[in-house]
Amino acid sequence: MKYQKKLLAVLLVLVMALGMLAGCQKTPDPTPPVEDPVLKDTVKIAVYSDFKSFDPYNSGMTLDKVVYNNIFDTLLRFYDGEFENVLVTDYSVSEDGTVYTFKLKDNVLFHNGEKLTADDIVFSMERAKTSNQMANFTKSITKVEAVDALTAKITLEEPYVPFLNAVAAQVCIMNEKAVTEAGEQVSLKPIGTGPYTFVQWDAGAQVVLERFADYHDEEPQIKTATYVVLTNPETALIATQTGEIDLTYTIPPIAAPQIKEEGLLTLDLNPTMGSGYIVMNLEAPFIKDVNFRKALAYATNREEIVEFGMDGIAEASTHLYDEQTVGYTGEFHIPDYNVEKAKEFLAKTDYAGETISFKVGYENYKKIGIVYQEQLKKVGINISVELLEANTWVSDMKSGNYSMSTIVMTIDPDVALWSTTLHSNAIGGYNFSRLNDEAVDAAFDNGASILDPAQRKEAYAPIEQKLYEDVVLIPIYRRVVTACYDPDLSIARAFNNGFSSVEDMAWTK
Amino acid sequence: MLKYTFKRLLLLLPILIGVSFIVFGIMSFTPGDPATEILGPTATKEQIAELNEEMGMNDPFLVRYFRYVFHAVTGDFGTSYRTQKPVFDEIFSRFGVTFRLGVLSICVAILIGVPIGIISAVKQYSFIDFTSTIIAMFFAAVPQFWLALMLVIFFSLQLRWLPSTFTGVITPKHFVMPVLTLSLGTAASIIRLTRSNMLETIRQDYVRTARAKGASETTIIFKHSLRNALLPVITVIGISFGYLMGGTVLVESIFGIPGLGSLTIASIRSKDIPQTTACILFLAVLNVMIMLAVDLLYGYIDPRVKARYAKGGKKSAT
Repeated sequence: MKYQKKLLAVLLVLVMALGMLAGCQKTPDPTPPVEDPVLKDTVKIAVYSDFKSFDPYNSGMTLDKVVYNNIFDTLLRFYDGEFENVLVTDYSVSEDGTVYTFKLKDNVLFHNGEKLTADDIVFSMERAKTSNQMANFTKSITKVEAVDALTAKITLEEPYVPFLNAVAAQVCIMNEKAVTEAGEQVSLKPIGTGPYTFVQWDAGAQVVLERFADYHDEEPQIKTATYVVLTNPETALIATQTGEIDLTYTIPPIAAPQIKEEGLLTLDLNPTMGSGYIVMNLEAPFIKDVNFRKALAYATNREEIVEFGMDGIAEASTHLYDEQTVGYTGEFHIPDYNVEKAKEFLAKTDYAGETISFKVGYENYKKIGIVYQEQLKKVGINISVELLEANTWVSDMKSGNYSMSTIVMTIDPDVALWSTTLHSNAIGGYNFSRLNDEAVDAAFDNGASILDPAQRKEAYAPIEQKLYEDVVLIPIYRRVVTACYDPDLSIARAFNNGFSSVEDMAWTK
Repeated sequence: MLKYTFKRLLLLLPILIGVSFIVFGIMSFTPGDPATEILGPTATKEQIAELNEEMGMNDPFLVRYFRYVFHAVTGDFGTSYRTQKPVFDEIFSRFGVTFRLGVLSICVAILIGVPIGIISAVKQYSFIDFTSTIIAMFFAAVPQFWLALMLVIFFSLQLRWLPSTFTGVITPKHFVMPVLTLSLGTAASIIRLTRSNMLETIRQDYVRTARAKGASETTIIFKHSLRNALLPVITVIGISFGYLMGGTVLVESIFGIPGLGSLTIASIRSKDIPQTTACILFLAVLNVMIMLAVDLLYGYIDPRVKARYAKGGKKSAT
């Protein structure tokens, strides 16, 4: 029996040691041995979720867009505050801002061999108008016509300043013949003019793209791109370290400092247009008191939330949108962190220590809630963080069955596009705050048609004034997309969704 | 036996009706709607309402359910709201890998569990018995996702022996770690159950009689004891196999395996009612067939059970 006890002890120690050993990593070599001196021409990219559709007019998913942006082109591309010509050589806008004329490139072919003409622009815009995803942005279009084979003219009902961003740089150009032939399978047979053709989609596993030999612009270095679905961030990181994957957009946030320190993989933190904020139901008890909301704003230490609630993988932000967004004024600011001021404003309210619910729908939002809970305790405000199933949470938010929460909204860089979350007609939709303000509504209704940038900023000023002076919401951070990849892979740029196109990637060794 | 089998297959119908009603009901009455999921955050309320109307989501629950049943009877189980593909296309494209994993895992679990369980029972209180008990307890207790991650870190990252994910050309090497992860926990249960059943069986009078008559240990173990001891083990194997067919989402997530489990979860999360209902119906049918196979195997192993099946609905003489 004594012998057996000793043996048990030895076995237990061995098991523990095995577990510890498995956790101790020797310095991994992420670069597989190069057998062939010729540069690699394939890239494997890990993404965190499966795809839904590759019909650009019927998919709102970021990851779908990441893939189909390699397959399709738009007329223009918005990057770093400027528009780049993609399918056009030139474009012009009429003085009254209602007519846009685009001169198309002459050498553009679709993947099925058809030549791009102005008729394809007409077809694409008409199709976008009837689609669920794009209808909101293309509703101002009254007429699209092919002036000649390479000239398309788009007429708007009234000036719509975000047109270039919301339409010209968003509506993917599709070929009428390809769409007609594909029928209901159009999401599975995407045919565009982009640098990559669609090869196959193994649902839940991967999507394969191949370089298009007749691409109208500079030939990209990468020949074959495979987007691999790896939902577990630890696995994605390990696969990148072993060389099975070349680039991953998902890593455990807590691993970021170690990756940077080791220096064996390149780690980019790509800023996005995603704005994370504390959202409050302006109709809920206590929240409807502006002094209470000011107390919450002063009690918010966003740097601490980013560090502890998000493992540092975000950029602290004091604005819902910033200078990258057309129409931003920068005249108004959310109160800075100040515990004493928070207590001062709290004293002006009827709040007597009641517990306020903070509902979230995802585990990562729960972490933010917990950090925020501790911050609010310091000023005497009690919140209880509740993690709900995601659909239940969205439903509660839309119906106003909540007091506080946190969310990230990614809206393209024009103030007009924030109407989907701040206009009173979006109450019951994505206006979770249930903001119902005449000045804000009027700013959205009128601002989109003002051509002069200075006047437009002035028209939109009431929105920022309301948001920050009345603390309608509390901005916390800008979402960042982590890109962790083989150091021999070069990535020229990332777009405002944090992702890069394959044509901007190249092997250096 | 044929009559018995036929009766069991007939039971499928009420089971499928019950399962589909419950799943359809749960998906219909829980919050969220597929239109919001499909259209995303830029959609207006009106667009969401219009799409919901188009999809028939505003019809009463019973109308929607019977419409679904009517189409299902004609073989049309609908298309996925997410992918717009027929629901069974998605299921069958994923079932292959789940089935292979399940079969391999259960085979490995049996090959490990049964022999060790027998040896443990025969050599009770020996070093082998003691060690196998500790190891069985360990693998029964350890969470699968932890085990999977440890295997990946050790065999992929440190030793570079095995691929960490299901990417590229799939080879037998890709199956090693997922199968080990899935089988070791099941093997642990089989070890313990086989051991305890064998211990009970080898103490029976008829075994003592056989030993007294001079039968060899091998004959006593394999001819007299094992068949009786295995009956409960077969049930556990059947249940485990059914569980594996449902797909273990965590293991699929860790190894990047596009299996049934992850399909089901993704469908539930996106309120994809046709896909979710189809997945669960498919799993229900699969489980019924597995349990039927287990019951038939019982009859093969135990003649008393076979005789009972054969008597079936006959009235017993009084």
